[in-house]
Amino acid sequence: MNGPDNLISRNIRRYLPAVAAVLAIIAVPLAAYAVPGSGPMVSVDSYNGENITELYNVIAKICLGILILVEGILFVAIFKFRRRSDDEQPEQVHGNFKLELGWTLAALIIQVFIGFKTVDVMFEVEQEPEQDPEIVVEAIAYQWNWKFRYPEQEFRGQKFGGFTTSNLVVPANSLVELDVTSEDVLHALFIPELGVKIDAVPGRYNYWWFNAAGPNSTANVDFEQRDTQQQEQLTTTRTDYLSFLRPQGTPRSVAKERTKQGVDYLGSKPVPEVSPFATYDAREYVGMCAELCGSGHWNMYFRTVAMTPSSFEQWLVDRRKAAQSADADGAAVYSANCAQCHQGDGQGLGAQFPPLVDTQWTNKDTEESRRKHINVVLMGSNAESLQGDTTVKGDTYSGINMASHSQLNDAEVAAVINHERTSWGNSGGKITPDDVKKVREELGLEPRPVVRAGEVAPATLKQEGERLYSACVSCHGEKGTGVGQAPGLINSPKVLGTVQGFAETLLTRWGVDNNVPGSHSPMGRRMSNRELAALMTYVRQAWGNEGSPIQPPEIQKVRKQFQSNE
Amino acid sequence: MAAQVEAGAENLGVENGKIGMWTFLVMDAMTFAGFLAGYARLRWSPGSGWPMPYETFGVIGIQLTAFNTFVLICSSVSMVHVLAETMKGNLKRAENWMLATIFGGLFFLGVQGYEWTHLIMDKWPHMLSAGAAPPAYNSNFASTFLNLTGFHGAHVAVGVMYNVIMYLGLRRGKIDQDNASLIEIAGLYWHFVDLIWILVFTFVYLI
Amino acid sequence: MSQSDAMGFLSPLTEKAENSWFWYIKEWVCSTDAKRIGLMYIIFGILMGVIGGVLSILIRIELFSAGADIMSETFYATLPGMHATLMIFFFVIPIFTGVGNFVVPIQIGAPDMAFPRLNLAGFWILPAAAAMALSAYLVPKGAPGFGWTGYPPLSVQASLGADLWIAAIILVGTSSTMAAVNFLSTVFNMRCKNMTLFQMPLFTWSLVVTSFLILASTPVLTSAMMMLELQRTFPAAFHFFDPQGGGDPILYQHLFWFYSHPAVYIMILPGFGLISEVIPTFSRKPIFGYAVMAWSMIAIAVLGFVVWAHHMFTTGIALRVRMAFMLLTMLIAVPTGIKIFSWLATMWGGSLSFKTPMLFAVGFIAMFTIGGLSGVVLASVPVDIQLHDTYYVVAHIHYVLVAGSVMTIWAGIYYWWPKMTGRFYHEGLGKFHFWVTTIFINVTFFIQHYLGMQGMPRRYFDYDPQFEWANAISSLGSFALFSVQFVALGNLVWSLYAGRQAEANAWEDGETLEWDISSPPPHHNFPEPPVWEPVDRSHDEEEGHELQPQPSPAE
Repeated sequence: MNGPDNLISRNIRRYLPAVAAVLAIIAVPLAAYAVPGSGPMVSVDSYNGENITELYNVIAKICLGILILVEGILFVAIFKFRRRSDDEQPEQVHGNFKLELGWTLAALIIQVFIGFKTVDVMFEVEQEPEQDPEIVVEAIAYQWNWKFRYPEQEFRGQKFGGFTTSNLVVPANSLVELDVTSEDVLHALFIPELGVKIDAVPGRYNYWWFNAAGPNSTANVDFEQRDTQQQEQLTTTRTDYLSFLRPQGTPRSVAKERTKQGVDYLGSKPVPEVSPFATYDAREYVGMCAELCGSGHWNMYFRTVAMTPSSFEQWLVDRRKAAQSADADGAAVYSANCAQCHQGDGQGLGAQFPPLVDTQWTNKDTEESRRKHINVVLMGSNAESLQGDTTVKGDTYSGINMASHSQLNDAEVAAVINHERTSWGNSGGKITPDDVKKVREELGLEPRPVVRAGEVAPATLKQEGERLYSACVSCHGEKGTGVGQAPGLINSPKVLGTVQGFAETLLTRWGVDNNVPGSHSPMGRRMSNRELAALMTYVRQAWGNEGSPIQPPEIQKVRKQFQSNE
Repeated sequence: MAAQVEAGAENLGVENGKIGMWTFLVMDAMTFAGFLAGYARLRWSPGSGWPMPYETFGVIGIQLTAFNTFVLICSSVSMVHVLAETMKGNLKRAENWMLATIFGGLFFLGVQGYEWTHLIMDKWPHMLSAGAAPPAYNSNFASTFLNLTGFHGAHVAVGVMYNVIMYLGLRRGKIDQDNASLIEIAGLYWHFVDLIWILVFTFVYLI
Repeated sequence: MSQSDAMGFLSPLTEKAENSWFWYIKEWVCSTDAKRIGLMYIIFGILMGVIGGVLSILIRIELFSAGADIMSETFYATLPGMHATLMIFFFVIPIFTGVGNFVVPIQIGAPDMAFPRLNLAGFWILPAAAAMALSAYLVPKGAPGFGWTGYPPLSVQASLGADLWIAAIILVGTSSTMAAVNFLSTVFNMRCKNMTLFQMPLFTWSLVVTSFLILASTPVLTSAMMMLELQRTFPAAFHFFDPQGGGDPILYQHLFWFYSHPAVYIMILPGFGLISEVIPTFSRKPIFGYAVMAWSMIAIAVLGFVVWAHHMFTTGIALRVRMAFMLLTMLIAVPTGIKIFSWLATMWGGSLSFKTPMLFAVGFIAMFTIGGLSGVVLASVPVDIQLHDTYYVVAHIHYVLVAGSVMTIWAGIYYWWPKMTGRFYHEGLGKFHFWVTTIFINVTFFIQHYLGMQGMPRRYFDYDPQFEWANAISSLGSFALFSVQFVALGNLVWSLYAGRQAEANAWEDGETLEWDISSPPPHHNFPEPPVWEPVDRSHDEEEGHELQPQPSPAE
């Protein structure tokens, strides 16, 4: 009975080592691939990225060695010490002090080595270099997108700043400081190729820095190909980095089908055919969010555009030109405020967000249509024409939930409306900022004349400041007269003096220094630039004070200086 | 009920119940440690805007609580007497001491309720209605205060119930000299609650 | 001997008496016998594992190809968190508690746990908690979509499902602390004669260490959850994690990881202990360096408490803090390495028999090493900053949790199955299960290292199509990996009816006390209190004399 069984098992046993050896030859490198060699790290296009990759390669090699050692011993043991007969009784070894001490020390030495190696790189990569950054950008995350604010600063003698963009544009080969924060939940700014990842935490700024290689990077470049393509390489961007987000087929029809089946289809987000930075000498890196921030977490892509410094200067000039003509960039306003829901191609999304193409609001050359359009942009779903069930191109949308965009200034509203009325085949006729102003007046909204980017109408500031002042009432009194030992604010030299002096008062714990009982919390630190500007503007203009209004960019400047002093 | 098993030959020389209570107290202490760590982090981070407790509560408030602390400590002392009398077999006296302990706990809870009511109504109206202005200092002063004292108060309430059960056990003769360790275990819990209060009192009121 | 005597603690399964169906249920549901409770833990854990597996399969179907395939992004957002919650809190931890419940009292020669009724209550909290967590899918706006970490402010924003989730987490914490109190009291107070602490089998040691971890870390999670719930319920009054009200969202992460890093060891230390039982039995050699094995577990546990911030390297904590946490993290590799090498040394020179449990143990060593080494890579701060929250981390956790915890769970179930049920599973099917599992763990998770290094973040609903081929491989692997687990479950069920009868010492070479009593064990484990024959645990070769196989104490 046991004959054939034995035969088979004997044969198996004979060939098993050979089979296993072959398996091991395949498996060990494969296993090795998992830990260290699974393709190169992508973070090679910046100074810190290179350092990280180099460090990774060292650690990976050590780990590979350990892995091969462990798997090797394991395989040898498996084959050498297989049970050959049932009454085998191996020698009973309980331990070996020298051996145990040996591998403990070896493990410790290896770890200490890796530790010191890493500490070296940490000082190199994670400490901001002592030289001043060439530009500073604030990255502000919100659900679910990014905005990049450029504080007032100087680049190669050119003053710029005070504007916000939806992509991160920086000069290449320059030290860039990122001040990262969030408006709502946690996010993380992640640019894989540049080795940048830092959490965006509401209520605080996290600092990071990088030095992007940009268009002249030698990493990931096939040199032979590069020679032939050099001209192209240096004058345009590489192929559009975010092109994968472009939809295949007609998403709208697919979406319809899915919606009918009760599946909420959320297709990919389209972007303009070519990168808006195609005319600059630049290299684009895709940026994204790495900290779970809700359902739209996966869709927070932005472009990191590293331009040659001269291109960057050109970009600044172009921006200024656009700003001076008071002619806001409709496409930019659209992509920052509208594209999330209505999509880049104006086709809308799913059952909630109607399309903008060929509708009675956007594509009818009548005075009434233009008026309705302005109305909707300013009022959101409170607009008259969106009450109740709204029929757009034959589809009924119930309970539209659109935000009001009255915070945009007249030029921006006009620009985005004109963009919508002239894109995607629409031809609804243009409007002017004055039309917007008029509609605002009719609706009783506060006026938003064209101001410089980053600035806010003083009346608005004052109004916001009044609300914020409620936190100060308990000590300074409702009328700014001061209560007990807290000083009055009317005609106070501190309040009406320099912006710097006043702002610093709110940013420090001055109560202790000035021997005032109790401690005054540095309330200003927790406030945004705009809030602080609003509060200060209010105090400077209330109860007979006649100070000048203070704009958020000024606060930003003080804050920067203040932080660098600390 | 599972049959009473013979204890292992290798043991720590105390009954299971006591080890169980000790391990439970380790875990409970860690819960408070979590809350206290949170408190410390919020309070001692730069620019936290934390007020000085004695200014916020006023001297009267602190003195009231100090008296309350004294009462709680006294109830711990009376708990020691309960155990001593039970071990001696004076169950009647043990009962009376237990009543005193329970009274101490109830008194503590009552004063704390009074204090909470006044703090919330007078100093922290923002907690009840979103419209009210928050205090000028970091409002987490109020949050952590309620959190720490509330969680401790829940422990006192549980302790009072525990003691009531022990009292009934004494009265009905279910607890006597032979199983006085039941009182001892209850005492462990009660002393622990007392100890935690001293920590909470120090952190929240005094420092 | 009647049949019910032969079935020991399992008798309510086979008894054909005139009892009503109610009696059978009562005998299980209300049983305070640690062995029955242990078995219920295991069955419950497997059930939850299957549900958690279904969620992971949904994730992999969605990621199989780029673009939106079968679900909305809102629904997808709930999946990673619920999958992790089920797998961690309702699968791995309960199963180890269950195996511990069954084995630990027997291994130390005790008739039952110290607090049988507490044990029962602790178990029944779990199904209630699981029902709460899963019912989050039934309430308006569905389950919480904030991952298993539940970071505020996202978790403060979330809808009603989050409250259910928080309540479930607090309940699970309560349940596992009850079990920990029980294990510690049992082990410290109920060991049989001669079973001193350093005579205890290593599996028992691992449960002791794990219980300490649970005792000291879980309450901190509870306090974090309570603070979170307070802030959710009374937003006007509590602002612990709200920067607008002077709070700090990072505080939550500190509290959370103070629990959740030790939780990693809560999930792997029992596995370590288990492997330290399996390998000597199938090598016919005592464990190599027993004392060092025990101390290294203690070292891992202690170090496990001071490394939590390595999950937060990108939150903006200070450079020097990062550095300190990194160096401490790297230190953990030392005791872990000691364990790996000691297992290898145990096998070296032994007489290895590759039954299914041994296969799983060896597979565990081979693959856990990969997870351990990618942990060393991740410990290095600059590298971690690049890889944090990418698929590299996903690969790492699955190499330590699937190739680590799940492999050891299977090793343990196969190892003690004959003891638990008195029947052998089908060996051929067991080996088939092992090979398919091992191959497809690698197919599923290997490639994710690559994805992470190429910069694909985790918890992404849709991705760059250049990653499509790698995701497809991973998805295919996961389908096979998930399906083959049902073969194993079928094998176990089959064994109850047709498996070969197991003797007391089912593997012939079992040295610990459970192999001295009948399979399945009688109701109170031992007819009379056993006496442990001390084993030579000496360290030095020179001093240690060769021991003959231990005569079993019952003889």
